[in-house]
Amino acid sequence: MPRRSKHKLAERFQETALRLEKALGLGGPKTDRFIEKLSNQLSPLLENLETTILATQSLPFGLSKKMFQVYLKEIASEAGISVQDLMTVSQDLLKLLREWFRPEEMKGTLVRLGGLLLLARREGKTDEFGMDPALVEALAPLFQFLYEDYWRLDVKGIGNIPIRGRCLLVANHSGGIPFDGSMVTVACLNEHPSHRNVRFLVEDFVYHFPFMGTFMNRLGAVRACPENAVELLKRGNLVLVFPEGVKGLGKLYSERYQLKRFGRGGFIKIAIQTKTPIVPVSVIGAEEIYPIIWKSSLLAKALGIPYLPVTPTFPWLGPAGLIPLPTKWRIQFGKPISFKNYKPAQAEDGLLVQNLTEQVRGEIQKMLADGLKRRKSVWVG
Amino acid sequence: MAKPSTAGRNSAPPWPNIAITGTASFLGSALLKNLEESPRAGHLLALDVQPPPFRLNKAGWKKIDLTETGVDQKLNDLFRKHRVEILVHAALLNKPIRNLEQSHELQSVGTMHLLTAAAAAKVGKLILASTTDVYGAFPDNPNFLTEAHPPRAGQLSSFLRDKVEVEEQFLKFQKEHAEAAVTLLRPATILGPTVNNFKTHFLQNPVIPSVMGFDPLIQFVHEQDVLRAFLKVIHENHPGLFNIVARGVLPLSRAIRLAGSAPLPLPSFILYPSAELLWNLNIGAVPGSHLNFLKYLCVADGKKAWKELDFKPVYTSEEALLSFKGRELKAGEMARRLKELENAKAE
Repeated sequence: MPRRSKHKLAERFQETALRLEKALGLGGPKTDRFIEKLSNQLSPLLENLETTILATQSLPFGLSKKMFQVYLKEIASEAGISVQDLMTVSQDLLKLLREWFRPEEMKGTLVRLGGLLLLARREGKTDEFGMDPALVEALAPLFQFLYEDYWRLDVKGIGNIPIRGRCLLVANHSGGIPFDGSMVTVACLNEHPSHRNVRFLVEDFVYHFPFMGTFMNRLGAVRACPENAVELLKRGNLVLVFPEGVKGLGKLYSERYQLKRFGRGGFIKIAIQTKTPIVPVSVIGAEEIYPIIWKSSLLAKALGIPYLPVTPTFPWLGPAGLIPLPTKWRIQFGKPISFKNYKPAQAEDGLLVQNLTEQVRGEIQKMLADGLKRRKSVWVG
Repeated sequence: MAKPSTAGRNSAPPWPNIAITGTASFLGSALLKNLEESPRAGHLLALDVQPPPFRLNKAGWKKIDLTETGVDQKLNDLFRKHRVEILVHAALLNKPIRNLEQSHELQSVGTMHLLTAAAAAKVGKLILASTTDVYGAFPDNPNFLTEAHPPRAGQLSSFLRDKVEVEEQFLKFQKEHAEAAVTLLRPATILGPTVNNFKTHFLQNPVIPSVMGFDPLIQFVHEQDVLRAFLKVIHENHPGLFNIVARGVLPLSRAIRLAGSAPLPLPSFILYPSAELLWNLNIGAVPGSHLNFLKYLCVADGKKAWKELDFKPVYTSEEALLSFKGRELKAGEMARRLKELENAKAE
């Protein structure tokens, strides 16, 4: 399928993003300084909040309000404007967003989407790994919107993915919510000559949560474990893994694009055992959609989750804080690495596995570095 | 003394003598009935505290209580007297009971007595009716649990821990008696027109509680398919451990809808304590920990049985559920599939 010419919506958004960048200096080195300052300012308060919540088992609203004021003041001073001006800018921004989303036009889409979702629910048929094709179809317009207009994806090297047969995609991971998995999936579906379906593996902690795990599973994600990866590959699937796992998902903003440890090399073992080629993938843009400035491990423990992220918008703005930032994304598929010449027994060779793991990790880190060097702006690429 | 009769199955001699425990319950009685109706059946020994639920023609029922002291000697005498060559153990509890001691005595200790007797009488082949529930439902289960995966359900309840222990005893028996053929079959939740257990009761409720935000994939197996699998390992020698499951999985929510019930999603922090309370109050059917089966995956991989036993289920999971709700496969469709399986075998 030839790449659709960019939407008018996307163009308009591009302009908005540029204006934002000019007005507030968002996305450049100024943002980094700002976020650093913000996290320095907020960290003591947040730690205070954490202990208070744990001690009183309740949410101290007064304190979070205080924090919100600190936060607003910080933003304003960084942008070199008064709090009053900031409010005006925010209102302008809201106006732009409203215009951009065009509620009157979106209404029809939303109603259709709702209808399809209800239908999908009533059927509830899934494949053997839990994907609900009707739900995927119902949500396709939303993901296409994110892909085409919101994050305006640029995809390179799609030809490195084989036309058919099993293949392991290995990518950097980030973003708090695995949107990167969904976008790589849409990329392969849209751009690949045989419109391949991707099954991506997500960390098991997702399955401890209500709704989230089931929802991801119905969309086609499968719990990350060697057994599932092998089974999917044996059936000839294109499987996407994030060896950084939850450590990658919860990266701080300051650690973005620095790859974490690649697990224990499980994906290499699988590639050797099943003689599956690996295609390294770099995803640029996803690591800024939720700039995590601080993580609460104490509270997370109490909630039974790996980490509780704090971003400039979450949890202050409530659910609205979960809206990811509209960065510009680039996905690059690297040259495939063949595992044909290894014997299955070599999967037990720890040193070999570690070396190969490092090789793949290095490949992705290099692709990231190259891509970042070429990128001029977080928002327009 | 009886010897395992591996040879001669295809020639004229009658089938070996078979003892079945738990013949008053669904699986044991269905198996007994099927074997009785076969013209070539050898001697059949039905062992249970209660007589089988139908009139026996050839088989003999002996009242056996596996929790009694001295039951091992009694069993040994019976096995020797009737030259029992095959022992099918289907006398495990099909629902959790509150009397944990009795549950343990019957399942774990009862099996010990049975195996002691089988070893003394040199029974050549042992078959255990276990369940895929022994894997347990956990958030870190792979989508398809193979026989290589350790059974972890012991963490959930003593009822399931006893079942795991029973399996362990059978596996130990195989290690110590290499000459015997020990087969463990783990069927998934059995559904069909005649089966009756705590899970079928659960699916018959007009309103079925579910865990809010969780909708695990589940699988079933049809009673006829389970019977075919058991007959297969009775007639042929296939030592080892096998999952016996239907093809296909379905989300719990869909299963509830197909069963004609309405789901009642409740948050787990309410559901678990209330289920535990109801269980302790003698009202609930299962301990709270069993709600894990409504929350997490416990789906077994049936490929080993398909390959090594050449056991192919006729019904899919969904069809097994529909059959249980009285919506059978059309007779023509059923015959076509069975014929297909036969043909595949012939090739």
